[in-house]
Amino acid sequence: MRESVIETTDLRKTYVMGDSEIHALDGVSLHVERGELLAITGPSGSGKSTLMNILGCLDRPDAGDYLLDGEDVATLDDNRLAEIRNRKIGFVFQSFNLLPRVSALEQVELPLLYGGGNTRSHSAKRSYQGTESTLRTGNKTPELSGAQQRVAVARDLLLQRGGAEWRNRAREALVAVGLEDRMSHKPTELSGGQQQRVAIARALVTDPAIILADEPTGNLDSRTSEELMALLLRLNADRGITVVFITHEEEIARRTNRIIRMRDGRVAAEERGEMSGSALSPVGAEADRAPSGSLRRAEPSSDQRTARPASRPDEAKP
Amino acid sequence: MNFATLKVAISALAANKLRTSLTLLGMIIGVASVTALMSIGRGVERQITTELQAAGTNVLFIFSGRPGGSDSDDPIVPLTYEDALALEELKWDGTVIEIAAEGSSRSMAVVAQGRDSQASIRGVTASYISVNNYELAYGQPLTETDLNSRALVAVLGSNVAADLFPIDDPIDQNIRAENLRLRVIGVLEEQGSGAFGQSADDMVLIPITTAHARLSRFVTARGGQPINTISVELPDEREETIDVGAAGIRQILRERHEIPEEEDDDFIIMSPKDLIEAVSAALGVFTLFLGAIAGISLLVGGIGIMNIMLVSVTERTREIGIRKAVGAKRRDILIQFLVESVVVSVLGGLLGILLGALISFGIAQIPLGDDGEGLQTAVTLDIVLLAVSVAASVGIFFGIYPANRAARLDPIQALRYE
Repeated sequence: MRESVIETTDLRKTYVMGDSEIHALDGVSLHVERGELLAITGPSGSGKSTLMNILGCLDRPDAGDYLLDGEDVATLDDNRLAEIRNRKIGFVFQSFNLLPRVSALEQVELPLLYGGGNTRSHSAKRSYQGTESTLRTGNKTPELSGAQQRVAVARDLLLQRGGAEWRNRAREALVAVGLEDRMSHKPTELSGGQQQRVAIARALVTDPAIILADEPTGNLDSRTSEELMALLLRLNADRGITVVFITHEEEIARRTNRIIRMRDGRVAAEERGEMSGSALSPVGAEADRAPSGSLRRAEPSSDQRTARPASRPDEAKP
Repeated sequence: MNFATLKVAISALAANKLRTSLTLLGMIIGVASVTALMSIGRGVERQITTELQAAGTNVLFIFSGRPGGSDSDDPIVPLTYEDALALEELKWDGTVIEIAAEGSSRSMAVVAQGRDSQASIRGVTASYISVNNYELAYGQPLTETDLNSRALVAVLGSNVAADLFPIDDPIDQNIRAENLRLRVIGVLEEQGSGAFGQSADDMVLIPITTAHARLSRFVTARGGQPINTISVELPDEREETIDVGAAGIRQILRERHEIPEEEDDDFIIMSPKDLIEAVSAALGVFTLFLGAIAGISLLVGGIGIMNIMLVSVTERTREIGIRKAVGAKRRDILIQFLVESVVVSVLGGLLGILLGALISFGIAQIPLGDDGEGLQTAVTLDIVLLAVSVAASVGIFFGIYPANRAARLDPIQALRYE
């Protein structure tokens, strides 16, 4: 059985509005495996935003359990939630949510700044677990032993002194989203599609357990949307990153492994998406869809300010 | 906090230059006024202390009155010339070196050769000039003979001499004060303005016996000539010398004034050290008071910071939401905004000290009074440290509320904020 990243049991969240109680989440149990591509859809008021806030550790459920990457996060305090968000979650928002007046590189460095030495040890832990995963039984991720963790942290502290390590990782992330020549640009100097790529790089940089994409293409034109979706799908396929879309757009939802349809705070239906065939072996899917194996993604051609070389890898659309 | 936090704060402040400079201005004005006013206070303090020290620190002053803390309401026996004479016996064993007495001074017009001068006529003993560290510019001092014979002679302060005899040599000239005709025998060196606004330069010194016989014929209930102050010069300024001297004086005066064992003194013996301490304590309060008045403008500056920080927090709600979403903890946000307000206040503080020092320098250049000298000012290290630490505290105090407000924002609400 594959390792699970998200495991929720009977999540409940109730808002009080005046005299009436609104059950935004009314018992949601969800199981997401590592590397899965998931869409959560539903009409407004269905509870999908509330679910995303809780999955993204921006909020706590009133009741129910939530194991994220093996960690019980349902009852953590604000500061612990901030740490979890920093280490395990990458957000991609509809409105990009970049800091004003800050260069792309610094935007991407931001999570590393707040994570301090933690983020790298997390990734060290992840790679360590990766080698051990075959020995694992059950869904729970075993914790590193104290000594192993201390060694990892100490090594990371040595490596990260001066922030040069952060800068390099931020660069890598920007290269991965195809913005290697836009690193010092500020949001006002970037097109919408480019801004969203910066946001994706920012989400990627800490090597999170999941990327939560909340209507990631909602503010983009259809062509740019298409390119952005392809980028997210490829990151999922190439890197095995778990991506959860929260969207009301059916075309986007369909291009995943699995679609969760919410209604009135419950999971109303669960469908297989178009990618479902490849869901269990993302590496195989990657071979199908991106034979070049390159992470380089074509820049949106609608963007007049970009003059990118024509070295665009073929993107075989399924 | 680290360098990155500082960088973020500075770039946030730089993003809104006009607003930041106006807020800065509030702090600058506040700190500058504190610095300038306190430097004036401190300058005056120094000036007075220096003058007191110049008078000699081995001199005790004795005057009538109850020591602090006394609740006796028995009548006070006034100090008399005879008391001063009785203290002479302390000279025998070297406990004291010299004793001088001064009567009360009277301000009157002094006339000579058709010119006149407003002067303060004071009856003094022969030793008065030396005990008070005054120097004679020329001529002779008062002598014991003058005292014994109640001679009609006078030593002039430098201003009086200059007023009456701008060209002529004043020595052996006659001057008139009311019905008193006096012969000038000496002129004092210029002393500068005195510590209490009374300058020896405006005095006319005459033998105390003459003053008693001709100016004031008051006699105390016991038949003595009342006097103002007795100054006693001690061999040196060591603490024991002062204590022994004061004890000897106390014993003699208590006997003469017939003060019972359990009663308090009816005179005060003050050493220059006491005097300097008392004066500088009073002036220190004065300086602080000036600082406190100026502190009001610092308060207004601080409120300006708080106001602008609150606006800034509201404007940057979304930014706060983004930072929280990517993992900023409450402390991170708190520190970010706090650093911003402290940067403004400390920067304002430093610029304010500069401006305040300039103002205080400017004030010192303005000539005051007829000697053309300005007020002394002193921007001392303690003022600078006080100003900077007050500025930083203002930044923290007025920054903590807005910063806390930012830190407590709910990330979901903040992200949704338009």
